[in-house]
Amino acid sequence: MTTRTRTDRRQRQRGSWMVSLATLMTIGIPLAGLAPIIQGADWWFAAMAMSTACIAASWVVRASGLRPALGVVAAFMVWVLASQWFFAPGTAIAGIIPTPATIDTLVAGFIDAGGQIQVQTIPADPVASLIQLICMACGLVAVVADAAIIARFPAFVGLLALVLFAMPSAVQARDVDVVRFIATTASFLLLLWIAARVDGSTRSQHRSASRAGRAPATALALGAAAVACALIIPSATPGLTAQAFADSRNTGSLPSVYGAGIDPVIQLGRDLRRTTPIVSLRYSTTADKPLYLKMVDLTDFSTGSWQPSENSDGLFEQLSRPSGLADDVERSTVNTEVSIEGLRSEWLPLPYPATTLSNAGQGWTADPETGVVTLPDSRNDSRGDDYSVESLALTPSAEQLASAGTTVPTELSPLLQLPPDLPAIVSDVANNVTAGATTNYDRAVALQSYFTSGKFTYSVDTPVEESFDGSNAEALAAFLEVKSGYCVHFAASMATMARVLGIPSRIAIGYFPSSAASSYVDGEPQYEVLTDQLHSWPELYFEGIGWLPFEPTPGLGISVPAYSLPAFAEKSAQSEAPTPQTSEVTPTTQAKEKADPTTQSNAGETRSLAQARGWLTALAVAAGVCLAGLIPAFVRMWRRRRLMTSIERSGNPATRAWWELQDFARDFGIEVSGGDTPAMFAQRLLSLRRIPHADVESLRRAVEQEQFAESRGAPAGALERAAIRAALVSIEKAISDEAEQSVRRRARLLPASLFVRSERTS
Amino acid sequence: MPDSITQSRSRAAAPDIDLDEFDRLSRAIMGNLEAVINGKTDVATLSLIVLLAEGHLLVEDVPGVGKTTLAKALARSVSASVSRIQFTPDLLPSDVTGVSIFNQQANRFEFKPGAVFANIVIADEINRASPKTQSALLECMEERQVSVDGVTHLLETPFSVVATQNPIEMEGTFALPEAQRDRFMARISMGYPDAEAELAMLHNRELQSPLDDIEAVVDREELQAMTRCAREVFVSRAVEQYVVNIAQATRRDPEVRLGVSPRATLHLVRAAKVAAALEGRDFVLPDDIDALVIPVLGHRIVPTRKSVSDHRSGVDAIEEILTRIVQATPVPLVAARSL
Repeated sequence: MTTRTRTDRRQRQRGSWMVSLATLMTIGIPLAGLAPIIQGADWWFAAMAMSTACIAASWVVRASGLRPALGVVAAFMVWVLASQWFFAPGTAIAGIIPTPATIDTLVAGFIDAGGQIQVQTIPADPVASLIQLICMACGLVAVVADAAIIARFPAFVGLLALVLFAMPSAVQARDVDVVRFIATTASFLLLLWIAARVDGSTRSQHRSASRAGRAPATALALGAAAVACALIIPSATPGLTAQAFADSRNTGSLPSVYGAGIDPVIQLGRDLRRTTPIVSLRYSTTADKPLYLKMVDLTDFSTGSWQPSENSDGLFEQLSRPSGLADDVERSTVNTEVSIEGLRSEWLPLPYPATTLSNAGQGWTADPETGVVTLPDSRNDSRGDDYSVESLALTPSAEQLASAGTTVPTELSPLLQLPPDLPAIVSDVANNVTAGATTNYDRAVALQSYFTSGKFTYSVDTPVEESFDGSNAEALAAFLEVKSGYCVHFAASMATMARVLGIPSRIAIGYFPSSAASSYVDGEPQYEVLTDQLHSWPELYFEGIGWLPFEPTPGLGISVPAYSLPAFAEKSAQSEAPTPQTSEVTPTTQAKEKADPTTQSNAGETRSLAQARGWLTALAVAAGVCLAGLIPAFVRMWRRRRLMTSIERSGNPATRAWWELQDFARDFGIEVSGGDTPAMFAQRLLSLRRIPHADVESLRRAVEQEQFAESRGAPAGALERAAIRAALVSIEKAISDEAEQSVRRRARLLPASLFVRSERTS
Repeated sequence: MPDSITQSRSRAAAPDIDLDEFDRLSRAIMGNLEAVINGKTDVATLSLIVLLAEGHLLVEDVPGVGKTTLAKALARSVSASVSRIQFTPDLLPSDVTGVSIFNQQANRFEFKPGAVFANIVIADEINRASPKTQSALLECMEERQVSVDGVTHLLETPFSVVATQNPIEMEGTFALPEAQRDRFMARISMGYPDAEAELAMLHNRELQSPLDDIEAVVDREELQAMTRCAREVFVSRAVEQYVVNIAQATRRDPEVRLGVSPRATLHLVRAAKVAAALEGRDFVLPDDIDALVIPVLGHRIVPTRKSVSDHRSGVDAIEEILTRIVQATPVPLVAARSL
């Protein structure tokens, strides 16, 4: 009795340190997912040290034979002590008893951490207060996880791991990190496994069996929830959320979701980095080609960062005449039906310039300057809206553009404002590029061709890697150095340079035109707009024509406006030529392709690469989930292999075969009780219809002989072993044949024998 | 003493008969038993097991179901000396053990052996006698000797008592105390015969008692050889462990007031050996143990009052408890670690 008790206890102790280790792994692996958000790795080690200390304290208490509940108390005390020693040193009495000063210091740390989260860009610099936040939070997670284990509810740890796992995905809109996901799931399953076994060894068999039987189901459910969360959380906020801008307008400070609102424009980059785009909206149009759809304009650059204007006066529920548009500019009317799907925004995506908006509901307001339509606060979620819009397609002639000259109306002077500390490189480049141009229009064309001439590359990742993501003045300088970025950088650079050169400019944010119609209804093309079509582009003002969009961003495969190409501009220089030029899209596009073949092919490659990557990620996630789900099947296969090999080699071939047979029967839902004698189990098998009676009987006799008869000295010969194996295989085949398809499948994927503690002794 | 040494040496050597011979003899005895008690094979087998395991048998049932007939048939089948004591309230201990009488011619005391001086003693309705007389018999059963006036008289081997008793709720009986029940290897209950067997009995016994037809099929030496043969049956460590686990479970069980004694464990293994030999096996299986748990352990455990009150009778409660214990006790299968 005493030996047995001691062995039991030793086993429990060994089990408990394995559980503790698995708990640490289940916390540590998902925590590592914060790595892209926080610089360095010191914070991870600090947090893990804290967690390890808490869990170790609990383990020591349990291992020394005290009540398990005291382990939780010990872990919590270690957490408190470590927190005050490291993050509020010198405030506690004798370094142990916390004082109000301790709490004040810690709270101050948290407040500072909150501030850091608001102001820092990704990846954040791990200042002391951030480390305090991470360590203390992680330590608390460890304490709670340990308590859950002690309370025999290890599945709860999976929930904690899930929160830790989903956090980086939610913050950064990254795709699910497959490796980390598999590692987290694996360590969680391991934890459940060990916990169930340790638990089982302290209970009677039947109860442990029924308890442990639930574990895999729970694990799978949580695993599925983890996948769902990790996949859904980032895609639940497609497009440009208004919240970021709204907050900055209302409070004057930047929004404060960690990392999400450091610069509203970064949201755009985040959407572009999404590898599994979803549909934002669909539209059909009478225009002969797909449209740019604008949602909002960034007009204010006086603070050093492009911001929407704070114009709240003179807004009415009607669209006004496009500002600055002279009557002699050739135009045609375009009707577009838009239906919003996944986009959540307080601005309606509209083609510019829109003249009439109908069916858009009540309470919307239009900015007369920019044509931006804002939904009322009562319904600032645009999802599900359908509306019709009438807009103009402008085809200004080369002469009209040339005649705009360099004159700018005085009321547009705010749109020329630049921040006082604009880096010199911006104006230097602007002046160099446009050295030969005389009119504003020529300058604009020169600027655009500077960006699209192949010197710059399109990349959504470079700005993040080089830490200049955003549209502020420093980011622009860095972009002009690195010559790699995405639409935000191209648009902001061109708009800023235009202002440097005296052209009023603003940045439009919306969607670039789809490449092809997704379907045709009554001969009218229907277009799908995906989240990764979110785009920004500069709009420049020309006297007599108004605002015209330009497209400096290369590599997206967008057919740029005809008037913005150098070929068109050259014609304006030869304005005395008698041929009146109507801007035809097709030839100019061809001209562009000839002029810059790399741009087009790059665009195709980038898109197809992104698509392929998306598919690969999805495949990898699916494969990972499948693999994690297959773990029980693999473990069972491994055990079977081991038993089968031992039939060939061990001194007790029949017993090994019997065990394998019992496992197999358990998998197929046949009752196997530890209280069964071999004869009883054989009897149960014989009640099955197609079972080979002779094989069951011979195997039973072999087991009885081996276990209970006097040993004859000579080990079983090869012939006997082969017979045992053959009998085993034939019985198993009969059991499998008799079972229904669903039972067979379950036996293979979720073998019940894995979750029952066996009474076998070696 | 030299006699017993010789005996133990011969026991250590190979048994006089092999399992085939054992089988032949046991079949012959079984044939006799089944002839007198129609349709009660398991009762007959159990009584034979007890005889061959050198134990004592307690047959318990209402009057008139064939308890005495069974005991007589068993005794007559082996050509051993048989005596029968009808226990009554006025029976004296000396009637059982014997008495010393002064022989005036020889001028000394002479011992007149009592009824226990036989190979098979049928103690009929043992619970009708006074406790004093009961304990005189029970002492003989355990010691296998009789002490009268300071002289010890050894009893012959084989020595087996087949006691019958009416259930204790019948009038005019003295229930056997727990400690004395423990000395019986097994308790069996005859039960009523089924309709067919009862009909056959009526027909057969109209002319003569079947007991008259019984002839001895096994002599004393053969009986002893059978006993020795059964003792040679192998019991593995695993089965021993299994028996001990069951015994310990009866002592721990919350529904049991008194668990079984170590003697019970010994009896269980001995009986299982014979049971294995009767099946022609030279080793004991856990199944042998399972089958004998209720007859061998049932009369020794005392269930709690609550447990009894939850059932129709004490016997039901005991059977339920033992069945549960047997089911819950894992059958150990052991394998060497090396692959």
